[in-house]
Amino acid sequence: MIDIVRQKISKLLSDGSVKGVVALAMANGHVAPCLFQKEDDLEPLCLGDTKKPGDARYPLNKVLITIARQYPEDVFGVLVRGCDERGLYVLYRLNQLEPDKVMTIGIACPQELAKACECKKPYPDELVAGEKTEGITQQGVQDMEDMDLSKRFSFWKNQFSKCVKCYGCRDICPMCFCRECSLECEDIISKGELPVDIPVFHLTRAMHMTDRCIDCGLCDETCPSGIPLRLLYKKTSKIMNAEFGFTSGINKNEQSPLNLMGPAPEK
Amino acid sequence: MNMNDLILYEEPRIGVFVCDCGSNIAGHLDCADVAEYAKTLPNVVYVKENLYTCSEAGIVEIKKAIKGQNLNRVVVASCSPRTHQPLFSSSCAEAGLNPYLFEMVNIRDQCSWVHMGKRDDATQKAKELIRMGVAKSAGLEPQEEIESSLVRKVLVMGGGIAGLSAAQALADMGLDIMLVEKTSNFGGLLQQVHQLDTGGSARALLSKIIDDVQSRSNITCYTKAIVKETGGYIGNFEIKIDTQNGLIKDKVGCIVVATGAVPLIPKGLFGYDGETVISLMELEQKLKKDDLTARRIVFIQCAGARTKEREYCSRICCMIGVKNAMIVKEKYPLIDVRILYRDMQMYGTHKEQMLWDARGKGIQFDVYNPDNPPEVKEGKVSFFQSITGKIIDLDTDLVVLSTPLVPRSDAPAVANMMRVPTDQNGFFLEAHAKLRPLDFAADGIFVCGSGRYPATSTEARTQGLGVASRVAAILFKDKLVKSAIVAKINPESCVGCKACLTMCPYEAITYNRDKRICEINEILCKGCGNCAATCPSHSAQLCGYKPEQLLAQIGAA
Amino acid sequence: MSECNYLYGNYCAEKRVTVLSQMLDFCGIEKDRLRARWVSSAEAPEFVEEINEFIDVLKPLGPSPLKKQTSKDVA
Repeated sequence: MIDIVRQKISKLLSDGSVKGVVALAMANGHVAPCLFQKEDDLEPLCLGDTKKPGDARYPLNKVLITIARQYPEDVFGVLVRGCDERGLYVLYRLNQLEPDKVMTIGIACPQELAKACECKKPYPDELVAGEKTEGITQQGVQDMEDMDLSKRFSFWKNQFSKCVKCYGCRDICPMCFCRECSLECEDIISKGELPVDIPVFHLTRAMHMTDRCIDCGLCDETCPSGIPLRLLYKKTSKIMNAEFGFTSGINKNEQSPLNLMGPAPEK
Repeated sequence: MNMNDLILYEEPRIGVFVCDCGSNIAGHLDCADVAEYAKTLPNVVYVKENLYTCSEAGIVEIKKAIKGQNLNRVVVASCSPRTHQPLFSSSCAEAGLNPYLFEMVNIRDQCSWVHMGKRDDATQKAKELIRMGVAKSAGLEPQEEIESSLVRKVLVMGGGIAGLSAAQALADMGLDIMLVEKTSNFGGLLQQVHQLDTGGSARALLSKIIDDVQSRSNITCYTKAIVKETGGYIGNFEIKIDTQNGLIKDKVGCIVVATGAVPLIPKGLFGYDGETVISLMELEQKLKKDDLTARRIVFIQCAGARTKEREYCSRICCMIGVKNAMIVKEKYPLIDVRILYRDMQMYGTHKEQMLWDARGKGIQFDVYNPDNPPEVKEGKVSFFQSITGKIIDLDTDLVVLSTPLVPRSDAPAVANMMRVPTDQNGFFLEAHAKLRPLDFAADGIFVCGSGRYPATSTEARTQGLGVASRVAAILFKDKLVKSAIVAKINPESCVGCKACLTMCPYEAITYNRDKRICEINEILCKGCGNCAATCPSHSAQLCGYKPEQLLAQIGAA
Repeated sequence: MSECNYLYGNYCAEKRVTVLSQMLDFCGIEKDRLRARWVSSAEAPEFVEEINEFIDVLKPLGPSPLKKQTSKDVA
């Protein structure tokens, strides 16, 4: 699979259709985001698999935003999985990237990773390498909903209590691009105090994720306290879908129902 | 840096004025106790209880305290901000305090009125509301009012009696008017009317007004013309009109919506056929042409009104029904006239008298129940007479259905174009039924006539004149001064996600491609706060309602 | 709902409240603690009815288990 990706990147760089490609590189035993600019420097390219598929992923879109803000006229390529591509669609909608300045190199996730993520669509629309695998149903959210209210309450209270307010979830999130963050607004979130304001801190973030979260799961992987943040955001996505028929990042020209005037669209 | 900016760096010195409102407030809660409590609140340096804060003496107290006590925030705890905020904030300005550093707490409506008879509760709540108001006021920031130029020209949409009256009055004041009528004739619905409810012929009244309007050099008349587009904002609307001579583009300072309403055609109701069962408007035509041959006439009121699909009362049909019944009876005293009604709604004392006069003329009134409505059969109307408990059969050769006025089918398109609201019945919705009955919430756009709600010709004319004075109050100023309660976008933190852009109902936000941020046109902004609620990074904020100000208020609750 | 002074604001709020109330429920907080109703300034009886109804819903639920201790009691 990596050879096909490497060939594709090499071609994009050599024919000048992109200025550079944001992907992953393996160096000194570590995987890290890398901007590849020359076709003969592609040796360290990797897809983020070390022990298991996709266990070393990064928010490449976030890296791309930083680069694109500096070089708004240039076209860049970016390595994307299904979730990353959904992320791009959201970022186009929110005007953080321009579709005609981005070329994707899409790879599909193996079934094993899709299962672990409970990913609805583990492949991008524009696929370069890998085989499309089946989407997985969202059992985790259902299981939580099946618990009774008091159980849910103590579950989340325990989980939220573990938070050390490191802001890792926000910092890793490819959908977080604001220059000022509500989670640092001292009128809402007390500063320098633990435990965190329950449930204000986590629900504020969840509300901001409502029409954005593309279910990449990086927040879960990053959280040092092991709070199942992804489960929380998966629920917001489920609500958005059930109430407004909206799934963040599924269509390139989507509009968030929360950012449209007037009543909710007919179900 | 000017003096206003300095206030941000000063410690707040808050003055609180508690109004007794005579006994209106003090009669139901302990104002002295409330005032004592206010003294204990943070940053409060001066508290005064007044008999009437809005009186000359009360205002002098505020001004004196601002200067003498060096106040930099003023809180008045009294009545409704809707009526009194302008007075108090302008008084602050007269004493040299920026008017946006004023905060009002409503302890009359929210305490003494709603908790009448519960003195302790009302007093307690007044304290809490004042505590919240004081907390918010500490975070208030001075604002500069926004000024812009004015075009002294007015667009009047609709050439019925309301629009004509507005145009006439505005022309009298020397303003330029563009009068746009969709059909080929001026006069609107009144063209179909025979005699006015006040007596006299509708045609005579209309032709007098129309002749006058058409003779004015400062009124430009357009018939068979439609307003295609409206853009811009108060003082500077940009409009496009599709006329018989092609598209006209122009600029106007204000817009008057006088597009009227239409009578419901009662198809399928009470055997309506347009011949022996006709509508009120068709009766007007018959009277106009003087070809009334019927001997027994039955009016059925509320035909197609106050039903499930049309819940509202059309207000004028009872009066029109009675008017026509009387005209018939006067001219043909031998005709038997009956009116079947649900409730007679004769608005105003004059009209109430008209009902008595009608009874005196021998017109018979019978009430019917909507659950058991009259039935119209060949030459007969039968209905259940509740006083006798019997079904009464009336021989009749003409049934007149009093149908309501309904909104025009193109009203939603007009509302959409102007970005103004309609009510649940589809009529245009004024900014406030009592306080601003002729204004739309959007500045510089006004409404009169039956487009707003069914109106008699007198009412439509009065509203037209009223609108003219509303317009004049704006256009005869040197420049437009607009409230500074508008949203602002912080260019430093805006990431240009355009979420606010789609949420602005007034199209006041644009995207600046070069700076990659969203920007607000302060004149267009109405201060609704949609953008502030949408912005993920608090970059869009509503002046006077910033998160920290509101959260301080909530925090003190 | 279509009578908002600012045209669409209440629809926007309604959509957000829909999401938030379900999120509260998901986190084990009774969603009845959050309520949004639209009452105009001319509808005093409706307002009173709404508030009284809400109080009847809230009282049995009791104070929130997440409420922090505050000392803001009025003197």
